[in-house]
Amino acid sequence: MKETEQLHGAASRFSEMKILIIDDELSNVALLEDLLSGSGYTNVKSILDPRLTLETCKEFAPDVVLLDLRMPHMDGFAVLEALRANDRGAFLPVIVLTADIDAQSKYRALRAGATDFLLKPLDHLEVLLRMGLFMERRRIEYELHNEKEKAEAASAAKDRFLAMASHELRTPLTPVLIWASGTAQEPDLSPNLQDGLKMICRNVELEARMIDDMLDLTRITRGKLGLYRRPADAHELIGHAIDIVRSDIEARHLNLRLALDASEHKLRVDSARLQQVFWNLLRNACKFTPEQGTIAIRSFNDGPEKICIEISDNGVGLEPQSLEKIFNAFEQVDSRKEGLGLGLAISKAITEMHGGTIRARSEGLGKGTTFAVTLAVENESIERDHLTEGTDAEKSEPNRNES
Amino acid sequence: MNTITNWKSELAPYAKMKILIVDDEPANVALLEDMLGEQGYTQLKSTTDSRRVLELCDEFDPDLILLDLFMPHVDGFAVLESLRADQSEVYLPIIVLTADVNEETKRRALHRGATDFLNKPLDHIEVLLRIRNLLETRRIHQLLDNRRAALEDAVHARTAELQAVQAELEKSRARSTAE
Ligand SMILES: Nc1ncnc2c1ncn2[C@@H]1O[C@H](COP(=O)(O)OP(=O)(O)O)[C@@H](O)[C@H]1O
Ligand SMILES: [Mg+2]
Repeated sequence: MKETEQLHGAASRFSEMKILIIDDELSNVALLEDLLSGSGYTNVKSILDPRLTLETCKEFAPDVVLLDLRMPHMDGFAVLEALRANDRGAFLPVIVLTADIDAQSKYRALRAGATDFLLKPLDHLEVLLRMGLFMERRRIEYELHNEKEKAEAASAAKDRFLAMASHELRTPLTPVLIWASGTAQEPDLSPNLQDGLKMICRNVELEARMIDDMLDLTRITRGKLGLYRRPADAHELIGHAIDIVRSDIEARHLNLRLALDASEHKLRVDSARLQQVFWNLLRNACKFTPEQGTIAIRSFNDGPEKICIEISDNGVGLEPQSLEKIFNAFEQVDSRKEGLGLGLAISKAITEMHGGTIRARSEGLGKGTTFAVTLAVENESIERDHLTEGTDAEKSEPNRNES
Repeated sequence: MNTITNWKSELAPYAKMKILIVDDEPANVALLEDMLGEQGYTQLKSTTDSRRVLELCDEFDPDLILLDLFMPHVDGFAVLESLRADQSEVYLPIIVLTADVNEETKRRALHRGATDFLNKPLDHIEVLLRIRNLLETRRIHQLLDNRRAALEDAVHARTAELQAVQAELEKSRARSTAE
């Protein structure tokens, strides 16, 4: 009797599951109801008139349907078709009960969407077995659904937390920076105090930059980084990025070589974001190149529609296996250097949002690194086509400040 | 036959799943291979020697087993027992093929771990449906398993991210006190 216990055990685990019986014969219905309720299925509903099927399904939301094939008014095939037309993707097992076993009707039921068959006269063991199997399937589908929701909720919570935390961390820094940099300009400060204030500025700026990167990253993962595309000049953007790192370059006695040879360098991009990309690459080039080293920036047209900007250094270089990984968030070859490992992840996302590509190449450790950014150039005719789009971009601008 | 062809697209998600056929009667094996082949299943393996089942399972790693009950040397009941003794598999459906509709036989098979039955002589459509249903259940079990593993990985990754941020803050604190 252990097997029946197993079947009953299955039933009690799933007793909250709902079974709908559709059969015009009262005696059949009574038999099935007895069998199921006697085995622990408490949530059983029956209808004798198949025309009530859709209505009942809507109210009762069954987990399994047991359907007779031969009924007046509306036969089982029609009920099946109606059920299948009604369920949108969600799987509802429909087990067809049938006395006639001719292949023709079986094919018809199969085509109409039957999930399985039970032959009349019903074998009790088989009814319970089949019920148990579909209940088990229902249960794991349900668990899978829950699991998906859990994962989504967890990652949404993480993004929300990062965004919020970054905001909270960022806001108090602004007044500190303004006051410290203002005060450091005062002429009659003691050198000691002046150095102290400069140290404060440097560290606060560093902190602010890291927080900005974290904010950007959460915007990117939440799909909330809006682009504000306008006509721009690639060479100008590079120039602005150089201006920001110039003091670093000088402090580390690096040589900067420029060969901006591209003749087509008009872009239609979010200037601030793209400048951020070049600035990230330059910052890295400075950071990973020893003093007296060289940074070279060149541009050229790769065909009339593409511009390629390469930023090379002769610094620490990269091993082949790192060349792709470094574009992942928080990925660093050597985490002792300053930074969170976000710059390249953000740069890659921004470049790709512009339809461009970014790649790293290196001959190996100690042999320097080159980062190549490729973007579409904007020639006159395309620019005109995009004029209307520009106003769209303006409208979507508020998006940009959202986090 | 036409209907079966129409069904091929519906079966496509399962076509690559692996089915092991165990029946001592070569004619039965051939029949099943033909049926399943026609239904679009591409990964089939069969044996008429039930003593080889465990070894084949290790090698072939099936997603579903079709098992005859009455065979010489080792009968289906014994095969069921030895297969179920290995608990490592998440959900491995075993469909027992039986000409004997005797209820006691079915109970014995269930007791030893059979998942479902197919009555001989085999009916094309019943074979198709029962296999598809159990393969789908297995597929969901695997998805669930992968999800859980992925969720664990994600938790690890997230912990690592937070540790990275923390370490970075520590570093910048150390730098600023040093300067
Ligand atoms: N120019 C470069 N030369 C050598 N390695 C680099 C260079 N740029 C980036 N990397 C490697 O890629 C990693 C990720 O860079 P990035 O995302 O900018 O983060 P971070 O600069 O904060 O470490 C760096 O930690 C470094 O290991
Ligand atoms: Mg960086």
